Amino acid sequence: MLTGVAVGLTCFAAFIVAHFVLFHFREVRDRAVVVLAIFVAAMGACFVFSALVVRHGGDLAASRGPLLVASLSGVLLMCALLILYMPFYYTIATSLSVRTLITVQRSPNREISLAVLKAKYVAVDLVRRRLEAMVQSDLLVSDGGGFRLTRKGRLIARVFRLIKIGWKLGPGG
Amino acid sequence: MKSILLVLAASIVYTGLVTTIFRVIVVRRRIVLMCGLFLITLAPFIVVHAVTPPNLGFLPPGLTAPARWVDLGFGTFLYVAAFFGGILQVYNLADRGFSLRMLIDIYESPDGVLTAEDVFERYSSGRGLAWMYQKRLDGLLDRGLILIVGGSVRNSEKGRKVALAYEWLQRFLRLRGGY
Repeated sequence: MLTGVAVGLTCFAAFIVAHFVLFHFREVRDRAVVVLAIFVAAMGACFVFSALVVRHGGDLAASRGPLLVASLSGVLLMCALLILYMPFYYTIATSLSVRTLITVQRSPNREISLAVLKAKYVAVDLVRRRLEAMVQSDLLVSDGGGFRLTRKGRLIARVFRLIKIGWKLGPGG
Repeated sequence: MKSILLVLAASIVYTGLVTTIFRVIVVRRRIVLMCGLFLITLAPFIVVHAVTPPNLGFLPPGLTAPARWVDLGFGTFLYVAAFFGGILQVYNLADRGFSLRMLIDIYESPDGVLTAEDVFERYSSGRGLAWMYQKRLDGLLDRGLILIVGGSVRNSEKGRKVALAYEWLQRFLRLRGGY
């Protein structure tokens, strides 16, 4: 198990470095797909390296159990780290609160009028860009008359609407 | 495998508890309650993990971890990840998700189709986008990241550090950011 944990940690670190380096040096269009592809490759590497380390310690045929525990714990550790990391990544990429802080920071004298800030962010353009991003993610389709949900978008909307009702969260947003 | 099964069971119990509380009591600071409840359930999780046998009485030898303390540490980490990366993120998305709210607004619209202008007006069941942005500003104020004085917005010292850190990350990753 310790083998799996160590290999999982190493492969996750490699995943972080790989997508940071790639995004820094290359213009990437569909970042979510690329992040997922690099992560899947890192998981594959985790499985292979776990097998190699377990094999190095004994006969692979006699060590199917340890191999399963090592690779499962490594892959699980990576998945756990990914679900902790991705909200942070999306905070960097899309958070409106973070964007607001940066806008204030970039303003002359590090100060901006509340009215100007609201004019910038309470805007139809902001909504349109998000909707278009969701079209790219296959959650919506745009047919000229407006935006409609795709099958995937409808499923997500339904599931989260149920969660909101179940937890009595109100409309939110 | 023992850790995975115990984390699964603990997550189900936790979700049941938090659902019951949300349905019975009106909670103002839900995140504080969720984190507190998580800490309360973490203690029994560790105790159960420590006192149960490595095979839980039914797992085959190949699926048991020989190092008990490593398994306990791994299980605790998985439970922490399941909470902070799973349950709490689902809550955050359901309660604050900007894009998600748009999807639900379109889903709830009579014709199932909305223009950008419609979404702007009807956002969050008719509250509008101005309400959403005010909620973000209130959140930044609550966390002491900004100061609003005489109609002007400034970053606090903490806000300045956060802005600089994220700006650097956005530049490094070549993200336009914010949308």
